[in-house]
Amino acid sequence: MLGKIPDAKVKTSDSPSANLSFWYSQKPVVLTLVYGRCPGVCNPYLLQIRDQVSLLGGEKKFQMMVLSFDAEDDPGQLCQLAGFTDENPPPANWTFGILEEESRTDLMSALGFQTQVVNELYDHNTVLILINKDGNILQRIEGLPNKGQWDRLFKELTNEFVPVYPTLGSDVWTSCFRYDPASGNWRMNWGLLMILAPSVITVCIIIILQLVTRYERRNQSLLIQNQP
Amino acid sequence: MNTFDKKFTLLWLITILVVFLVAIVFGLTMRMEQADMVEVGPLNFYVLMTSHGLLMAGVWFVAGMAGIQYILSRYFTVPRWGSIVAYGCTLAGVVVLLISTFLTKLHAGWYFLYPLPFYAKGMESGPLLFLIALTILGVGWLLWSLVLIVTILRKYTIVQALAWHHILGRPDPAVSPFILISFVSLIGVTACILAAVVLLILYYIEFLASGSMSNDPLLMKNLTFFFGHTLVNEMLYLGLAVLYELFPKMAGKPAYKTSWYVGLSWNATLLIVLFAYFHHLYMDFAQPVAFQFVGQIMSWFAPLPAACVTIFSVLTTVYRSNMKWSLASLLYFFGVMFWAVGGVGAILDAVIANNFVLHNTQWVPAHFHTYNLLGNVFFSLAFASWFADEIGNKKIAPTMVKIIFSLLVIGGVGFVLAFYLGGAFSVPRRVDMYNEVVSEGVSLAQMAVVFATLYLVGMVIYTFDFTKRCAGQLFS
Repeated sequence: MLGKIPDAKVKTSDSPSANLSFWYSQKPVVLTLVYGRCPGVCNPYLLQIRDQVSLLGGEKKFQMMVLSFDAEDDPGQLCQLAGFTDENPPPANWTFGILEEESRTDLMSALGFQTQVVNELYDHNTVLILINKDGNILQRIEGLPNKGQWDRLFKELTNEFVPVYPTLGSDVWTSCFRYDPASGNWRMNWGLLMILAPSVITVCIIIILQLVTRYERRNQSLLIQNQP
Repeated sequence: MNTFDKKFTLLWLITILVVFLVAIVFGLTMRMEQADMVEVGPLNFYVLMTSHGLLMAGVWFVAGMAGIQYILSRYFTVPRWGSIVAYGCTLAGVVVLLISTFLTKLHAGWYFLYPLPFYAKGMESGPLLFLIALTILGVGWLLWSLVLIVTILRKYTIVQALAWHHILGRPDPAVSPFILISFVSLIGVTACILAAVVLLILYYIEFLASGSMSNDPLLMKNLTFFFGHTLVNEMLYLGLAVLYELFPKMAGKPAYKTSWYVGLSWNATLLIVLFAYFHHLYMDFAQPVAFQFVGQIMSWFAPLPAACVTIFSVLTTVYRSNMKWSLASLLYFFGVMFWAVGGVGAILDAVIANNFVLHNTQWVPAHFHTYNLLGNVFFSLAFASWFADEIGNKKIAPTMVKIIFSLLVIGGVGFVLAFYLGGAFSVPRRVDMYNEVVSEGVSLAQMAVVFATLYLVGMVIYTFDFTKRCAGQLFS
């Protein structure tokens, strides 16, 4: 659990101002932040989310929220960005909204969402957030989720057990693995060698003891040979 | 064989029997708490659990080592100081351990899984005392193990002691199964104690860093089970080494020889046992999947060499023999059979699909109590009984054999049966009381208390008889 989400104010096509808790208090919420004029990742990102969520089904189990951090956006624009049209409308559990100015910074900060204005456009990262009915952030996925991350997210939504292992800080030099949450990749680290160390040291000790005792063995065999 | 070896082995055995009785009382009290017969409370329950688990593992490890030392000293001159240092360290370690658990209320489960020793405590000094106790025990036991290895290497090279020449069909020099199994076991003992050394160093670093450094729980768990699982297996093998030496003589048959398959099986055991511990980490999803498969496969292979060859050897030894069934031979024979039963229970639990169901149930204490209480303990009691017959003033009375053996077998089987049934009913392990959801836990605990009491009575009679027959030798 990554903390509690700020109860930000959101404008949607149905409501001029509602709190985020209005949605997550009813059902778990899968939330992402985009902006409508985005010439980069927002459109493909939303399309992938749409496809994966349609594979999941279970509209009644959760709310899908797409929020814009750009005050110039309107909800209809976000709906189009996600590939929905009048002929192909979004499912009932999808909500598109605009974050209100007063709570935007708090929410973006709590979600680790970073923006930088470049030529009147926003350079930004992408995050997918899972919020439970108490407003707790259960999962935060940076970038496009891989299959394992989608599986974990869906399991959490359907109340299946999701094991959690804290990602160790880089100061834990004895860790067995290094995990990169951004890519989901891991690589081996020094800790694994420490598991091997006892066996390797034992072999070395036995060999040293054999060398140390070689004269005694030789004397014994000479003694046996010289026996009448 | 000199007087010192006899007296010191006797001292070891008397000490072991006394500590064993104390540890049984700890375990019995835990089962009485679960049975709602006494009320010690959760804190004291876990204090008893930590004390019981570590005392039992330690006491039967040193029992195996004392047996090896005694049989080795019949053939070689074994340096005395190894056993003396180990005895002093064992006594001191047990005292400090009991202070850390009973006075500072350290209660780190039935072993010391990270990071429990840092948190499960009543006083700040608890973890340090606990680590000091483990350090004292580790130093003494490591030195003892190395002394015995050196004793074997004074006569045989590594290749000879591992019987590789017998595997290749060469007869000379003849290496007995006792030497082979002792050497294999002592190598394993050294490796697992070194794992404990690495583990303790990491514990000390974190303790002294006062929160500025933390360890990787996955590494700590790997090292803990490398130490614990391997030690428990090796102490069984130490008992088996003595069995290979004594059992054929009890049956009036020639001594076992190291054939190619005996050599091969024990060399395989040396390797397999070092990797089988991975099955303790099935629940740790952060462990690489390849390790889990290694744990699964090694768990399947682990019993094949050592157990199958030993069971086959014991059965063929008894078949058409002139065995005069003494307490020692009865305990050896039934110890091997119960070891096999416990082994099957262990393999069932070590199958990944089963482990998902059984891991936190009483199936786990069921299988390890079977091959420890009815297997390993029987091996060491058999050795002690044989030893008492060798050096004592008189042999054990036949009536006493029947009483002791019946109490130990009936008490032991009933006791572990309550655990197996608990596993079948999904009664959780490691809890001090059961609610209405697992009410079977209470009635099964009551059943276990009855049978454990029978076992305890059997052990009290055994200890009394052993001491009466032998204690005079200590001061002669």
